[in-house]
Amino acid sequence: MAKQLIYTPDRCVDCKNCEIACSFIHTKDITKPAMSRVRAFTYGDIVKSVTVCKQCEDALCQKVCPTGALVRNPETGAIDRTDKCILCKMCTLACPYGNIHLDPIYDEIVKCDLCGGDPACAMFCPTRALVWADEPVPDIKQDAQIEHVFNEEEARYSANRCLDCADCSECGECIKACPADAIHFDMQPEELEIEANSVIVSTGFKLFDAHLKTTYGFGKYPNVVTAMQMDRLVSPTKPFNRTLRPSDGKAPDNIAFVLCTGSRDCTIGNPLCSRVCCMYSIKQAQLIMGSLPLADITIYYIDIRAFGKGYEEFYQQSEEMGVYFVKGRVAKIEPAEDGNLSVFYEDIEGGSGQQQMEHDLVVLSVGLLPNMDALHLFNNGDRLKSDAYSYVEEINEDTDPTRTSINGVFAAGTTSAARDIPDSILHAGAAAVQAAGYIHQLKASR
Amino acid sequence: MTEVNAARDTKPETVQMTINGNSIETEKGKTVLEAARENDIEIPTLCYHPGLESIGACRLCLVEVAKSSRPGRKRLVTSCLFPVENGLIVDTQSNVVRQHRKIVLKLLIARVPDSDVIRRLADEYGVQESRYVEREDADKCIMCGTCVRVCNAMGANALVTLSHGLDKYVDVPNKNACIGCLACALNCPTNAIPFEETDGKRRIWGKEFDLVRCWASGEPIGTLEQIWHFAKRSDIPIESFLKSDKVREREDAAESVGVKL
Repeated sequence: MAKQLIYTPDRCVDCKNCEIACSFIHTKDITKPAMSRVRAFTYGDIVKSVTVCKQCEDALCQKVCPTGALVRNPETGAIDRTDKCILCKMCTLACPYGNIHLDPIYDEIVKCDLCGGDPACAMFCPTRALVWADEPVPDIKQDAQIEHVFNEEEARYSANRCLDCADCSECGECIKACPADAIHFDMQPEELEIEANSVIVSTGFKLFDAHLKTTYGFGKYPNVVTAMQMDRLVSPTKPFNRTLRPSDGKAPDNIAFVLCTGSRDCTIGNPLCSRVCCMYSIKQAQLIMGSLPLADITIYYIDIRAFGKGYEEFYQQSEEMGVYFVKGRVAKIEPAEDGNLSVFYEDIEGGSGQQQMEHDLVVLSVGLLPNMDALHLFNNGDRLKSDAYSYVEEINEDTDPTRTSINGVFAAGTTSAARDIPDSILHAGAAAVQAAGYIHQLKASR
Repeated sequence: MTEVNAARDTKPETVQMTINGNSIETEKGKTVLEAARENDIEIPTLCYHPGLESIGACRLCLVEVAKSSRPGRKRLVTSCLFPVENGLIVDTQSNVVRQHRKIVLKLLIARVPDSDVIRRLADEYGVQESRYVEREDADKCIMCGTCVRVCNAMGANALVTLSHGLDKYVDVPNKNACIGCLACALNCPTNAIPFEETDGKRRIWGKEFDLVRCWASGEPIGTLEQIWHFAKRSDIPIESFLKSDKVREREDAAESVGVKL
């Protein structure tokens, strides 16, 4: 018998971990349990149940789809939504169990795809109420050999902390109850017209999308993560209170950082240094040493740019603590056994040429890219001029900082170049003074 | 019977071709665009939608192709329509291709100067402004026909292109045919189709629709016309559409443990 998702109500402690895991795996940036594919529904003590798409044999959603966008995956047996979808919403109405939805924010149809054969909801269920198996898990009392992540008391405590944030039925009662009239369900983005003498543009940067560096395999191999994802895995409020790797939940013991992913790289069209990646990678390396004291950490770098007071000392300190620094650019990352990854690099300082090293978790230290939306802010009349790298151009960076090509418009922070936090604050201060001076001049000349 | 089974067992015919110097293998019957996207090679498109028939309207997906027998003879084709064949040599980023895309983008900027999508694409190709005359009182429509094809696939057939040449435009001549499903607006590549939803009403294409609310939770499900249309198309009784998907999900969850809500 093929594997299936089996739910045992007796074991469920209503922690909603399945919903959080599901939405974390599927949505792009955030955890949004309201758009989870699996639904944990409780109603007092009367109902306690988890429901998820049944992948019906003779599926109505598949039958009504006008473009054939719902296709059964022969490997997992799940009905997957492909990009043929034209958002007609017919499937959401047709499903008798209501297990297919329209995500109103990303404008896409969401549906359970069994996570490609290893459902996250079952993987993260602490009490094994939801399992991906051939047969149900035996009763709690007969199940003494199995080690639980939480014991029953801890699991119940965690369940009580839940705010039930996914349970909004949009009944509208909160709108009536709010005395300040602060809740709107149908709020649309609106454009306000404000008359101003001066504008400070501080639209920030765009993070490099690691998918674009195809040789590193981000998105293809689950154990290649970006530094932003690693930040979540080592933060004080990390999931499961332990640093685990994504593919199988094992604690990694050989971690690699690949610096200059998406910066100083002409193949993706960004020759600039991002200025922050060296330092945040070393910071994360030190944090990992706190949470996983036995793990080996290797940092592959071109140059370590630890400029500024205290930065170089921080770098030296982590080298003494036992972080391996390897000078050499990583050429490609390939999968190895057991979800591990082979990293190919050139050993420059050792002089031994092309090398290969196996790691069980690879962190890509992604760089900063210009936010090109800033260039479209002023559409009528003059457009904001960009420099050769698509950052907003400062006309005279050294003697007249933050002034742009348009009179009265000033650029602050990473709008005009990659900067770290102290430099951005300093630069913003300069922009504020420039703007104040400009307004003062304007008033004096009237 | 054995013949049928044999045909089903044989894999689809494979084709060897080269894109940007990388030799790749793909199935016969696919287009160059599909083969490129399978191999993570990006080709910009506006009118292409995987679920709809391609019509090659936006001209952005132009690529240079040549056959291996005569590699010197190159041609520009729309990759969304051109089928793959053995030994095809494709270049998606050659100078000629980039130059042609720049001209297309300049024409598009002249047509829709206010569109962020087009501006962003143009920035990638280093096009700042157009040398063509900007259209007066321009909207954001680039006449790619995606909305018309979507409406056709929905079976409503309300949207059509009217008039010819420079005056061509998209509209709903028969207001009764529009079911207010919003599929056209959600699929428009330049977000050119305006609609609004306030106080249980939806307005699109100059027609106002009443939104049907779920009788259990009160959240809007869709327009009455839309639900009628879906019921007619799918042969499912209309009563089963009158509850929202979330309510149906809850009822199913309760029923699976033996409780009737």
